[in-house]
Amino acid sequence: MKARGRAWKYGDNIDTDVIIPARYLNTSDPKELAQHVLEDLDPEFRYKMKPGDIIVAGENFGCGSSREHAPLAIKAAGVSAVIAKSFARIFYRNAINIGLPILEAPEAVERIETGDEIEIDFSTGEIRNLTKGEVYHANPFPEFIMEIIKAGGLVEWAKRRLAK
Amino acid sequence: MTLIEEILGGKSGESVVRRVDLVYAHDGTMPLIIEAFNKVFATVRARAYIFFDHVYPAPTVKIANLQKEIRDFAKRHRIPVIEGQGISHQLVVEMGLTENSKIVVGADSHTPTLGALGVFAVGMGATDVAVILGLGKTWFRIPESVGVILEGNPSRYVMATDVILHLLSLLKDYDMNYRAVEFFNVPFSLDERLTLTNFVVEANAKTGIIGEEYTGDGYVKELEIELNSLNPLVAKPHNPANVVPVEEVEGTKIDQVFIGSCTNGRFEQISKAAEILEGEKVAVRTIVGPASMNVYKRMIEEGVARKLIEAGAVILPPGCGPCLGRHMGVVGDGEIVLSTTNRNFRGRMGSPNAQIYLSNPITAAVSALYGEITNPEGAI
Repeated sequence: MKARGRAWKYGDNIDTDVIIPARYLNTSDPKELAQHVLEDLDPEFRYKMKPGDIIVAGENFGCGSSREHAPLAIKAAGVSAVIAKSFARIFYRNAINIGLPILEAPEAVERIETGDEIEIDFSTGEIRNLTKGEVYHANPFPEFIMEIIKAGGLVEWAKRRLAK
Repeated sequence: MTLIEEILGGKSGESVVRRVDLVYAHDGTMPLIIEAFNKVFATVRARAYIFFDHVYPAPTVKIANLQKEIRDFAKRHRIPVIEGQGISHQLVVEMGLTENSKIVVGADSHTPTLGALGVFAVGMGATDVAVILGLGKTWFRIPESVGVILEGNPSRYVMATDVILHLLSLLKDYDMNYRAVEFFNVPFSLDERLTLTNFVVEANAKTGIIGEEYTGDGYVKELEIELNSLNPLVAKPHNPANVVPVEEVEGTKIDQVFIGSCTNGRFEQISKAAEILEGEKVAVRTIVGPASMNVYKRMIEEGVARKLIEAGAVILPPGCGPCLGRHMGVVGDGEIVLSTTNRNFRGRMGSPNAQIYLSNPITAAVSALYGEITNPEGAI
């Protein structure tokens, strides 16, 4: 599985309130949520991003509320992956559970700038910066998480457990 | 071995699958839980409760329909629904639901509040909670713990909120992600103990828990907090860890004060604020949100509600209130709020152009009287 798109870079502590403000939580329709993705951080984001683009951020991405609407909004907007130095734990679980690819890659975050063309190979964790001609590596997922990802998300993982 | 390692039965860093003794959700997170649940499961195999606290009673048809959907689901699966009686975390405590429980999961990030009762309680998202409903269990990565030992007793203007704000500034540059905080030697009442474990989430802690005796064995870090030397603190916009002494922001004009929420909406906290407002008039919009109907009832019985009403405050029905900007007390463009809640992220309470400051209920009440952020020391 691969992803390719332009990078949009933000800072540390991007919280779920700016990813999807609570005033838009009166729906669980991903398309509706996507219309407000990152609205309080960068109101232009949803107009300037193209499907496949990649969000790059610093430490503790997705901190705050447990709302699964946050990764849903990002995924439904067409973002192909989020690369961060670290993720807040509930967001980390939520993203994996709903199948939004996330990568912890501090070195990549240091180097990538907004507008860089990025290609990610999820099977190897290799992140290629086509603009700068550089290659970075994401931290590998713990074995347990890999099991869930390989199953295709938590719902599928649970189905298999039930079948046992 | 830390308290949490003992409860989860393993060493920090390990991932384990464990039975969940109690799982709960609210009107805000239930719709996505139902969606995920229905993809895989037919039967609920967990001890579950649902609370309507985020946007209750329903202000729009859309929300009324979502709540109807939740009721239908709950009825089908025989899950109790508690509507409008207060905030989930507070009600779990009041209803004694954690008795005989060691592991609790809530579909809300402030579920760790229950750690004040010595249980391991964590917040999770909708899909995780749906799977817990269906399987009765889930996986946990056993966190490393930071031991926080309190010493002495706080002065009369210092509350549990200040202990956490102080802790947030101590841990600002320390990586708390996936780690927990274990508190020891806590001199507070239950009302205030719940504030500690509720608010510690904002340090990015996975959870907080209060223990009896500190062994010192197995902790990644140890912190001592001298309560006697603490002074009232304030978190500036737009992050709870943006902490300064109240003097530094004294004189900041405010448009709204909110006293309440799962952080500071219990009887002790609201009555402390009411003592300050008694016989006075507030200078700005002042909203009080009891954490539960029991708190509200006691406020009426003990004359606290009268003091607040006569001072000009508006008392909301029990629930999350203005904390998350979805229902009552939403703030407008450019407005400045002083709130006793736990989050001051941009846009949290309404307009993304509003500014939210956080403080303890005493500072909030005194500031309501002056219409600006005021140091309670010297002012009362």
